[in-house]
Amino acid sequence: MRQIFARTDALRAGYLVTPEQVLLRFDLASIGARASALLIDASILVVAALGIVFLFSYLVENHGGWFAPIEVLLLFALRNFYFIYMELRFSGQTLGKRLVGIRVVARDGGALGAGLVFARNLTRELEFIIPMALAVSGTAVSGVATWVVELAAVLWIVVMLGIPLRTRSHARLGDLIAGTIVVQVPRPVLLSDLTDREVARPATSAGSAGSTESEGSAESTASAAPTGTASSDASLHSDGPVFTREQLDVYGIHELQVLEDVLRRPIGDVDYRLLDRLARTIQRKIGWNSAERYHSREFLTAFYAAQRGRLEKELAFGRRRERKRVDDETHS
Amino acid sequence: MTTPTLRSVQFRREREASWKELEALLARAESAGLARLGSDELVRLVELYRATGSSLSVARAISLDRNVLEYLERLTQRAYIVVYAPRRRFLGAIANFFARDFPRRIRGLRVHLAITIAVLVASVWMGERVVHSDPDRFYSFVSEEMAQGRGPHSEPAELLEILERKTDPSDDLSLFASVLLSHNAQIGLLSFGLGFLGGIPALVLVLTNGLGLGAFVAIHERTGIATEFWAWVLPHGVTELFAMCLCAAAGLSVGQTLLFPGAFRRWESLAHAGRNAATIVVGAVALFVVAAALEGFFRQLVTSLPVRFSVASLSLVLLVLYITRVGRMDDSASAEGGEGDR
Repeated sequence: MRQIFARTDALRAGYLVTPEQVLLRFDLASIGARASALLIDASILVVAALGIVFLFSYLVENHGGWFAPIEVLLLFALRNFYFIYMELRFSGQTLGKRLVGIRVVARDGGALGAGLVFARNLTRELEFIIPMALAVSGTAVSGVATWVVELAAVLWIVVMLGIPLRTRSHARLGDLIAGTIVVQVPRPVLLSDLTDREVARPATSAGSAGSTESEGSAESTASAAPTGTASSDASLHSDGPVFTREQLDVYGIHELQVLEDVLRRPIGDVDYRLLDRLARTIQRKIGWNSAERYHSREFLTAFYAAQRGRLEKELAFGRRRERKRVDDETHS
Repeated sequence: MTTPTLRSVQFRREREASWKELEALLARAESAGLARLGSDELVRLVELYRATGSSLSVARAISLDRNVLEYLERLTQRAYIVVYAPRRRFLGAIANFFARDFPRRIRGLRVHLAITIAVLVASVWMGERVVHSDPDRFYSFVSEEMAQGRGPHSEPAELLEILERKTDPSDDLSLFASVLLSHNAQIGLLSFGLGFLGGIPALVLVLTNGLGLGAFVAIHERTGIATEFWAWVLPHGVTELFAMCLCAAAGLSVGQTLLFPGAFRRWESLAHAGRNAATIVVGAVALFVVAAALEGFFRQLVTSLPVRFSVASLSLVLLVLYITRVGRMDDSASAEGGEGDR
């Protein structure tokens, strides 16, 4: 039981407050996602740069030196403005970010302005591009031994790569300077309410149909198995389990939402043994000794509904019970 | 029914339609772009965004259905991203920057700018004095590469030859590009970056450049062609030196914030100053481009002293007008933060 409840490893979050004073909790982009996005963008840049170089080597050869500086300017623009242009044009997404499913938002909750985009991307020059150039050829600084320059440049790059690992929001230096965070693209999915009778019904019957072989609830299958019509199901449910207030005072919001997670697993992914175990643990914990036997899923759904009703009522009175009572912890 | 319908379920039933409507509108805005939405749809989008935001706040207070909470959270985020997307496109952002943002930010840094300009003038004077009294010190201020064969013992004719050299135009373009990319822009970025070390290196950079310039002045004075040298340097030098001072001033402001964060937390102050400084450096890089164009083309085409000097003074006047006059109207409107920050 405790293992199941401990399963909620929340993703790292970036909080921001919109101008409407709504607090939003974005899921931060993982370092892996950001690295792959960067890799994609870097590949695009390299391919584009090679294309320009090849094209212009042809042009210069046939049409004279006038094209050489134009080539340099084009490469300059590509290197400095690719990220900026993309992030402005596609509200915070480069091609790489779009493919990976992450984007840039302003940490203060305001609009992602042009200034922020410029600042966070021009810092790249300082973070990686100049030190990289120095590391490859440390001749740019006069009066210092080449290997010192190269070593310093490599150290600098290592430090810059280390920053996202150490900062709470996986920010690179450019993010810190511009005040931006990189988040996962939000994908809202609204599932049906587990306590809403008309909608919740199919899930319940499907659950009981698939679990006839699981022991522990074998006796209950007779009463809980679907008889084919929705009306008979509804009548079954109407005299479903009833809980006392004491029984509903055992668990808190955290446990309720873990239970929700379990009940919401897609049909093909339901672990009936887990449901049985969960039902028995809860029954033991709340001192459930009804003569009626219910199918695990039915019991859990009913318990979820009753528990949520109870906790939401408490919430309405300003009491928010986050977790189960502590004194119960000892004999569980 | 044994249990009455929960309040949170009731709440969801009442609002769900509007959430779905927002979802549909967002899907259209994201795939086709905001520009494709009609004006009534835009109004509706904002309305629904606010309504969903308030739904989220209500749900947090009354509902424990995690799926609904997460859904509303993400839906609001998605709408927030669309509603607060960058309003300016690339070119618009650039135009706005030079018409308003850049000169306003320069004015914001006038004290730092004054300091760096003072350091520059002082170092030019110092370099000139030192090399004047001991010509061999020239080489401690000017690198081999910068000197291009010029030195304290160069003949006037050699020096003049460089000052009045005309070259093949396509070579000028290459020179222009290489000067721009390898030297100036890098100096700008470098001095900005070095600002993070406390602003001192930024000043040192100005100092060394100033000393080098002073050394050049000195060797030309010896041969009596100082005027020609100034005419050679100043047409692009005014812009270039100004841009360099600007970068150093930006670095200085970052360094100052690093040491004295003021009323905010150090990282916050630094982020603010850094953003401001980065913006200024970007503008300075543009000035470097102008300077490099003058250096690459104009200087090779025109050798007449009066013309060179008038271009120099013209660029000075334009610069002064630009930083004192352009974009003034908005100064009071957004002195700090707000639109000016973005």
